[in-house]
Amino acid sequence: MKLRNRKIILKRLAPMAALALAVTGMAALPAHAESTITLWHIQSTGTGPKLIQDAVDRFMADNPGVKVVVSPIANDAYKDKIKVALGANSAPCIFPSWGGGPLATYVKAGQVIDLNSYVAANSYKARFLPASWSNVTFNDKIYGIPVENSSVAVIWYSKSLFKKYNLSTPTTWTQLLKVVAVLKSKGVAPFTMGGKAKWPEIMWYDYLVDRVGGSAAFNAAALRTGGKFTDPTFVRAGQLLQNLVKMGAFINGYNGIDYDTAGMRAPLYAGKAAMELMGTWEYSSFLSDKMASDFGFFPFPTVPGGVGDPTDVLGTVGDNYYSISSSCADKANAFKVIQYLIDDTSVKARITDGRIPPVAGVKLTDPNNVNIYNLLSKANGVQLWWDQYLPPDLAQLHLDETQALFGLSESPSGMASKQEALASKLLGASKK
Amino acid sequence: MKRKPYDPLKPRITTLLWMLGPAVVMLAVYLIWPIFQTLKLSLYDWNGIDRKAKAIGFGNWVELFHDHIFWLSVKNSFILLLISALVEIPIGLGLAILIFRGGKRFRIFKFGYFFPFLMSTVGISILFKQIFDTNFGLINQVLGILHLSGLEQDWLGNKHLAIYTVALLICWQYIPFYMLLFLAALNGISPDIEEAAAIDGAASWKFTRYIQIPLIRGAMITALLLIVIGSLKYFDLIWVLTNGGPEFSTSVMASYLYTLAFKNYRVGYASTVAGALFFIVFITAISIGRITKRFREV
Amino acid sequence: MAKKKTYGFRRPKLSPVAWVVAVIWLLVAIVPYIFMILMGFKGSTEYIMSPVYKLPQHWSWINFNAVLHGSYFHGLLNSLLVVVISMFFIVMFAASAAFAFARLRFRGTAILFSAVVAALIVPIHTTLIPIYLLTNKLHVYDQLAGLIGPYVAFAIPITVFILTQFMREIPKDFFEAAIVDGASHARVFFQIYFPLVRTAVVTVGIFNAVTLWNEFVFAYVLTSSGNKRTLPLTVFDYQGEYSSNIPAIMAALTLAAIPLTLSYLIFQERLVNGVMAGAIKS
Repeated sequence: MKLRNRKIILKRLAPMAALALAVTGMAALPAHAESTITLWHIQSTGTGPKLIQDAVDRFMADNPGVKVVVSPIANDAYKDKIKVALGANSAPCIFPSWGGGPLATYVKAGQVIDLNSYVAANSYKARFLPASWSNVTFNDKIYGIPVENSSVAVIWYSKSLFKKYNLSTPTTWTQLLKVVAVLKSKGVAPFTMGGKAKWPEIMWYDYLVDRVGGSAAFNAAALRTGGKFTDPTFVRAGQLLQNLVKMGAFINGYNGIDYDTAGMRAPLYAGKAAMELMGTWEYSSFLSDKMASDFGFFPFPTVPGGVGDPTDVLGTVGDNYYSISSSCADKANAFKVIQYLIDDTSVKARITDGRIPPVAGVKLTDPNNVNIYNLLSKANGVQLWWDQYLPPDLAQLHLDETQALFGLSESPSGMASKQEALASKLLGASKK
Repeated sequence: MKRKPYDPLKPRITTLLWMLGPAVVMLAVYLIWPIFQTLKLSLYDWNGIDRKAKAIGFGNWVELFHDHIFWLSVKNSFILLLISALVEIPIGLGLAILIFRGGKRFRIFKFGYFFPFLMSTVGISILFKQIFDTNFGLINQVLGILHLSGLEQDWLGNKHLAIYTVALLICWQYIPFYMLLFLAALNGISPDIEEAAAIDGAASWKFTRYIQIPLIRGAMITALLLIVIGSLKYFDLIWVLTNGGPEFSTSVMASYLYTLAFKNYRVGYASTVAGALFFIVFITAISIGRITKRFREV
Repeated sequence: MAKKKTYGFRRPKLSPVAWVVAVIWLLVAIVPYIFMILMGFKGSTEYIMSPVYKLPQHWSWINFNAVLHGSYFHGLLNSLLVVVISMFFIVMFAASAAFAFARLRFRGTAILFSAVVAALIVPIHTTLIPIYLLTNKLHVYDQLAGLIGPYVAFAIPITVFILTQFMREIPKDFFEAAIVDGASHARVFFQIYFPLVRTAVVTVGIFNAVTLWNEFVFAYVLTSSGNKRTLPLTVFDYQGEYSSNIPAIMAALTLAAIPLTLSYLIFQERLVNGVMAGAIKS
């Protein structure tokens, strides 16, 4: 009796298992093409994936015999995945990055190729905004092509709340503190914050450092040319920030709120918070949430006694950048694929999608994007996000310490000395 | 056909091979070999990307002993372990007894109680982000309409509270499994014993207290061991819900090693943490095994 | 064979307290689930603007439709394939090993058993990079087949551990008597031990099935193309796709939880039958 049962079970299972093996086995058959190029990207929202696929399809139509395999990957997890792939020497031919520290790590490990000779041909380099190259250039060699978007951090505010409480957009720190005080007295949280993700918090610190000490202060410390992370600029930035925190400028629970799944934006929509310091990409979220009409932006204010250029912005021009891995078998065609990703057709599609391609002389239509473009073109300097610019280990410390600063459990000077200690360990002592 | 005379209780080598072989091979390939790889890596300074790793002897291990975030993570792992053991076993056992006694009448409960275990960790974390949210969350809003605003908490943002919030949520997720384990054990008790006790006229709570519970001691020890091991290497929900924050207040050993390897690009040092995690779990599990062995023999 | 008797303690009178406790815990267990389902019917702005505990203003299926027209069924099929095949191997490999550990005497039993149980403590993340490399070498990267190896291996320790415990509880006399009667070890395993621990197999089977069904890390690292994604990954993608539309994400979560809930509903009956069969073991 029992034996028969078992046989029946086995009989039922066997075809299923066979079927499954057949299905997975079929997938293992190699594709027949003369050359195969793999491409990873992280454009998961809006028309992003279609945009890439269209460009790739155009390439394949023009280049028969070359097959491009596209894998869209979700943003946050991609950062882990590309690391595993590079470490295992099985990176895709073409992959995106934000430039800065992590790309420098790949360069140092010999995992990506120098694109100088490619961009020199037909003066391809001149096609792009000059500011877009700094994040992908190491030792005068270019390792990535700017493609997707330009974004800088600005302060978004709710027009209706500002009107309701008769507020005007501040240009100085003192004015900002007044706005904060009024909003507090009306029971509205001045700023929303997604502190769980940490990176929205460092925008505050990094901007304050720039406004207090100018871009020279950060560059001298990060490039180890005589500056230190313990310099007064950094401590003062931390103090200004903590004073703001102590005033109650940030929404309740700010250190546990996520940026993803709208955790950070929800208070803005519900009228529980009035402002957020966030990248200009936030505008496309407002658009897709059908909330765009209520939001405008103003640049980060100046601080009393600060020497920073008020036109300086924090952000990037051109990310994502696309690089070619050194394990790629067909590098020439891989570069051609990248060119299709940012050819004139692709540029038009990106503008329609509400983005600002890092290409010189583009014509924008959306008034908000025109404003951003103006801000960008007026800017005397673009400071790349520190967490992208610094070596990964130091970037992580910066994120952790800023969160502790927001949590009031780390002092500005404590943060400064920890960052300096790790910087001198990783980058060497700072010398003039 | 005549067999050679042999001890019939002693298995033939071929029997052993097909019975043990597949499991042992799978473990060797996918678990044991990677562990040795990890221990080897713990002696290197490697960012995971460079073609060559730099051998630095026990440098990483020395650093580990002075790394207060590591020790904070160890502490949090043990907090999670204690809370899990003290919450999951009693509640799991209580529910199992309840359902056992309820029999068919409680079938609907048995079904409902299992729900938390049926959701993916990604799902639970997305869902509970909405429930624990300070400003929009279900809990704080319900407290608000009950005029208990004083009890509203910053469930995941308060660094003194977050680890307990997360630990209780993990308990909520795993209680159903232990309930089922105890239920299987209760059902495994021979009906003869029950019958004998019924004839003796024992009160039903006495039967539970003096007969059922002692008889499923084995299952309880199994549960305890699983909780010890599961808690010490726990990762999933913590990672998706808090990333180990705020300020490392919910960081556990596994989340810390993940951060090190994938955020700090310190694969060598992360392997050291992984090695330490392995030893800590090993020692704890053996100690628990020793203690419970005595308990089992009593 | 005797018919199943009713025993005094299996159907005791239930005090009102028992009912109250049972109902309270039912709420604890299912309220979040109900919350999730209700959310799925809300509009994205409604979710933010009105209190969360309010019922949806309009019961709209838009969110569910959107998810069903996405890659939902593809993910479902992939998950089904991977879990069913893995489960088959897990049960076969682990049950036979558990039997060997519980009843066979051979050199190094204790050491090998400790090694297998010690493998329980191996954290997935420690093995990620070596396993990724191995998967590439075996040419099963980005294929469902590549997931089966790690899935089976990681489920073996707990399955062997639990089944060994249960098999040890079965009186040794059964084993010795059968062997002395001339039964082979294989026969004793398949015909006596395996059926007797059926309840345990189902219990640990549920544990494994649920764990694998929801598995994320390996599926994430070892596959990359969209048509190789398992269900948790499709849900994960929705999180990126509908970043601000919480109700749409909730609809995706609900749909992702349905297959497991349904199979538990069906399986639970089997479990009850298995338990009853276990009760007639005289």
